Amino acid sequence: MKPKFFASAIIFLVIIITSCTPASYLQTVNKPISASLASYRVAIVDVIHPEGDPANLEERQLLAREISIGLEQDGPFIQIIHADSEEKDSGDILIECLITRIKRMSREARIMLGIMAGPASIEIQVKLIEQKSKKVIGEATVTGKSSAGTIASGTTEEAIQEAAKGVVKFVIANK
Amino acid sequence: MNKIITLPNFLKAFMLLGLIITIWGCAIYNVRQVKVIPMNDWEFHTTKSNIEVALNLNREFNKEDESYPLNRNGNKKSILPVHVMVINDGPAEVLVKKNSLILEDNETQYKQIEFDDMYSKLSFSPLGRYFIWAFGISLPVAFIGVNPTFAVIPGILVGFVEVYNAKQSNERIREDIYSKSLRNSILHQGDSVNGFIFFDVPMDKQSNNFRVKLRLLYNDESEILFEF
Repeated sequence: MKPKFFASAIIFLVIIITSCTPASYLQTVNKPISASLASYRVAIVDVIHPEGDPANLEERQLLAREISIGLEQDGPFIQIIHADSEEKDSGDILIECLITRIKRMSREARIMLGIMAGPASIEIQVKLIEQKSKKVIGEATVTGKSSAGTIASGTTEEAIQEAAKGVVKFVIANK
Repeated sequence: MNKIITLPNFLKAFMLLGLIITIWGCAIYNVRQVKVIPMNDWEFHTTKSNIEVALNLNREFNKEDESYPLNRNGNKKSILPVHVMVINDGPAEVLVKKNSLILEDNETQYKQIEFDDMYSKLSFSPLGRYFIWAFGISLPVAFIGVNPTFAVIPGILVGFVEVYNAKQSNERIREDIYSKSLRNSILHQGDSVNGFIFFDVPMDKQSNNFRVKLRLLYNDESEILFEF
């Protein structure tokens, strides 16, 4: 009984440690940014709400927050604002993020199923729009993927955070 | 096996778990509301060229202090929060940038802590907590005469709960740091901004010698300096 139990515990441990594939993002630039961003002072981050929106309010807010954190640390803008109905037309540049697909993984499911639950993922279409001219100056598709998962990682939040990193990298590439 | 699974052994294992939870605590983080205080009650307060600036230094930097913004102690992690408020009453645009606030004493100019570093300092490690609960407690349990394999089972269960707690708390910590941090802002007439800037200050530093400088920029890039 005892050796079997310890053997199972060790196998369980090894699976938990080794099965973890890291979180990542994949970025496809559809239209490279055509202008230097240094001249824009205020950026508006807008995670838009399309018909049949696959993401809920909390997830959209999380994405907007993570993009803002990244841009505040590394971006060329003085001020980053989350868009709401009043502010959407203000600022110098609009970073519009459309969530086209989301595969969720809750904390509960991850803890119960571990690696068998698979990774969470999210796909976003990003457009950079100059507010004055309403011209799209850059466009990309970013897919964020969580780690395949130990019990302690691999949730929807992680996928959103990865996607936000991809969006920030696309924006700051031309700062 | 039957001799091992007895009521006293069960009680011993759960009493030990209870003791560890009491001593070590769960991975819980509750967001703390920051009290809004009148401008005149701030530690430093001045007006220059129609710009009002107020500053508060959390000198004790621990969570027992009511005005401390975070719900985890900052003193062991060398986190000193400086609360800043800027109100622009003048007609010109004013740029407030986080990195234009300097905290120094006679020897050192202290570094601001970036968001990701703040998060690393404050967050819980879900996997670490799981392993400690699931397996780490089986050894001390052996010392009180309970078969260690017997203690692993409740340990794993508590470990799962702790993973969940830690992940939920980490999300709250991230949101809390973000919502309380000072934002870089452009202030038009009548606008104001307030928030915390976190500095890396070792707890043994003399808090009476701190000097603070805040450099604000006008739109034409001329600057105005506030010193406290």
